[in-house]
Amino acid sequence: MISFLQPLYLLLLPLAAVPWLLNLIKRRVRVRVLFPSVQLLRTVEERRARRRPRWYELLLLALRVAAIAVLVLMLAQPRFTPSGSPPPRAVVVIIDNSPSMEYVEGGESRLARAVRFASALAATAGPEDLGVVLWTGSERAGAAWGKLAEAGPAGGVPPAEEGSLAEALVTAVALAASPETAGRTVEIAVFTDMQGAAFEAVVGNGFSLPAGGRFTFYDVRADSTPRWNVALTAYRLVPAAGGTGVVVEVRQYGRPRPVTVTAAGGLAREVPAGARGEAKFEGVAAGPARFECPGGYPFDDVLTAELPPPMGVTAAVGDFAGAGMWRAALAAGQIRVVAPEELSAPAILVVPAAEWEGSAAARATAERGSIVVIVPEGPAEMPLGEGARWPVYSPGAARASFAAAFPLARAAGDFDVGGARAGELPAPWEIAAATAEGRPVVASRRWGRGEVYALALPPGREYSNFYTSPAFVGFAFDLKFRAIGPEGVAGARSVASAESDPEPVRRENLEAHFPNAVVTRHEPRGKSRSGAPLSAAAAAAVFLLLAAEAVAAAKAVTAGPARAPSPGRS
Amino acid sequence: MVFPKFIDVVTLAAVQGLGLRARLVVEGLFAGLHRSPFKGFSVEFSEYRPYQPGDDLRLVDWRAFARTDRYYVKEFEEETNLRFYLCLDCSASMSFSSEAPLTKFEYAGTMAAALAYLALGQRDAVGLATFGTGIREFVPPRSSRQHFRTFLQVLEGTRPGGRTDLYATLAALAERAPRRGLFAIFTDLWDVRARILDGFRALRAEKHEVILFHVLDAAEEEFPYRGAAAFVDLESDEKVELEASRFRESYVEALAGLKRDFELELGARDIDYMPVITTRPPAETLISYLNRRRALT
Repeated sequence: MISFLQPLYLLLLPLAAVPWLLNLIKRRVRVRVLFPSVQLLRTVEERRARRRPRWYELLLLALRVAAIAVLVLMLAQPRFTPSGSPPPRAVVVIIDNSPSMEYVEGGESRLARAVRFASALAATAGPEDLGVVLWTGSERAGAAWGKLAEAGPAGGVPPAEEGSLAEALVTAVALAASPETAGRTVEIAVFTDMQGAAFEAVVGNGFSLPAGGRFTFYDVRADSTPRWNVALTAYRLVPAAGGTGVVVEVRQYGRPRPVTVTAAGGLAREVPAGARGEAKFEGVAAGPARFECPGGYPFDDVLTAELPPPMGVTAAVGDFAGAGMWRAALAAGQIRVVAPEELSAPAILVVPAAEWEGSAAARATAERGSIVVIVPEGPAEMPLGEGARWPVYSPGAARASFAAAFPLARAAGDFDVGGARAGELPAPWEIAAATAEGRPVVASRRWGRGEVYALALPPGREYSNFYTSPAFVGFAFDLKFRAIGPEGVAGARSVASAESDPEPVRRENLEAHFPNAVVTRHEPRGKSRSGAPLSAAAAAAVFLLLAAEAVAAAKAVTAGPARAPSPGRS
Repeated sequence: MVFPKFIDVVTLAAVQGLGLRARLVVEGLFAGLHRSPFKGFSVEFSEYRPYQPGDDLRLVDWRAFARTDRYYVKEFEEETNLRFYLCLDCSASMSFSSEAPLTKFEYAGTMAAALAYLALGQRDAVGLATFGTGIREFVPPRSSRQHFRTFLQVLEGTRPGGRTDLYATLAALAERAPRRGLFAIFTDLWDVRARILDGFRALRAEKHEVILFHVLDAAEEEFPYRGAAAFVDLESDEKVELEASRFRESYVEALAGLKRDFELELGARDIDYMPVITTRPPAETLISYLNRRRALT
């Protein structure tokens, strides 16, 4: 069966007859001429017919007609479905309603976009199609099949909240295997921004569906989402005239552009656009220094970013938002998990506050010279132990200051690193970073040979993935530099250099990691395959036309000059 | 006041009477040549022989005597008047005229009459044959002035029509001309090539000298038609429908090849081939031919 998304374009179909009509008009005899040498004309015509037979003319005409017909048909966007009555479907719709989905792009939140896409999918339902909608952040225990056409946010779109796409997928697979789906084509459609835990759910889990079933991941991020990341991925001291030099390696992802790296003292170096570049500084004293990339770090597509650990990075397995990125990196072999006590070099350890409270291993890691970043989980106050409590700011209130807080995340001249405000926290905690308004965002304290940093910002909203972004790596790098000094960096780098440089997992190669998955950014168009994109139609039409003309040209070339005929009228 | 060298075809066409038309052509011809174009047609030099008593003193070549101090007498192969056969194709295709004021037949008739006028002026015997699939009218060669009137009457009374069979015609002509003569044949050559060549071969087999005037209209040469048209043959009513402008190049190319082939094949048989376009003044055409002939001899 064939149907058309834009059937009005079919009104243009008679245009396909234009070449045929032109041919008819050209062939219509308008005058009758009495002529003495008709036999010569006949001879010439026969020779022409031999050089360019009738079937050849018809082929040219057919190609031209077909070219126009194809163009018109593709404008109408045909959809092909198997002949006969297609089997009904059973579609599990999973909508990611994690906080990051509230991020507004192009005047529309990702969640609204996901709901719109899901509605478009439901609109394609046949009367026999079953459907169920699952929200990643909501209770899924009572999910049951209903009519797909009626599936949707009947109770409204639930508020954004943390959830697990992996769990939703498990539920979906269970639903797909239920008796109601017998004889139906099973499809799981996930509408997500493909960040954090969503990515982990895709990469880190294996799913299987009945034969013919399929996963479709609708990436609802707007196309305008920036795709550029930059990170300082290495830092090393080199001998230089007049002292120690510093080489900073900048790595870029997406579309590289020139980046300026500024060292302490205002020395700036331009790093040309490229996937990897270096800025070398001389005459910079060893010790705390600050580097800035005025180009800024967009909070960007985590899937297009590699993890560029400048040193050994271990991942906490705590269930905080964004941990999926780390786990994805683990799955991809980009980082390795080591037990804290096994750490022989400084590392960055990210742990949720609750784990920090009860994790002796984390504390031991810090004691051996690593950085531990404590991430709050949402309570109004985060216990830091030893009676210290740390106010956790709401995302909305902290958003502006947070975005400008970190020197590697924004060129924020008002960020006061090390501007401790004694008295706000019990010693040995001190304010490590605060905004110009005096709002502390990072508290720190020494812990053995290492340091512990506590972020006063809960994961959530658009910052839920901050820990997975290259900006965070830069931030951690900055903190590490402060914490353990250049010597530690050099030592740490040796660990990093021992790591291979595996191919990062990206959205583009996601399907290779998860064969059942189809990743698309297009709005769903129902169970049937939509027509080829317009560009393909145009290409096909142009191909047909070119084929016609090429055949004509080739024939003309090979025909060669005419020879004199012998007129005869015997 | 400057008169045109040749009377153009339009003017010629306005002249009533083939005889007057022929004289006008001849006058133009003389104006262009300045000396008799037909010297050498009636008597053909053969060889010198030593003078013997009794020989006509008028035949002594005094120039040779001046060079060699000996008397030589010029001998001619034919001392009688030339038999000049003017043969006109009067098939239907010869009635064609596109933009030209004269049909191909009228043009050929004018040229034939002019040649007859010239030949009779030097007392050559002139005959006339009109033909289609065979000889239609045959006027045996005569050299009297009164014969020119008969010549014109037959020519003016002929109307083109029917088909062409050059082989049958030329073979019959060869039979009708027992003595060696000069044949000037005016035709458009729309016949089977093999039969055309066979016909000329038959004429040449009888030692006749042959001049072929291949008469074509300008439209036949240039094929100026445009758009789709049905071309109907004047002789056979055969019809060909085609897009004329797309055919022009091929047609012109084919016709040029055809003429080239005729020139080569007839030239190989010592037959003068002269393409003629009916838009060109007849005197100019004749001059052109005679000059070429003179250059060859």
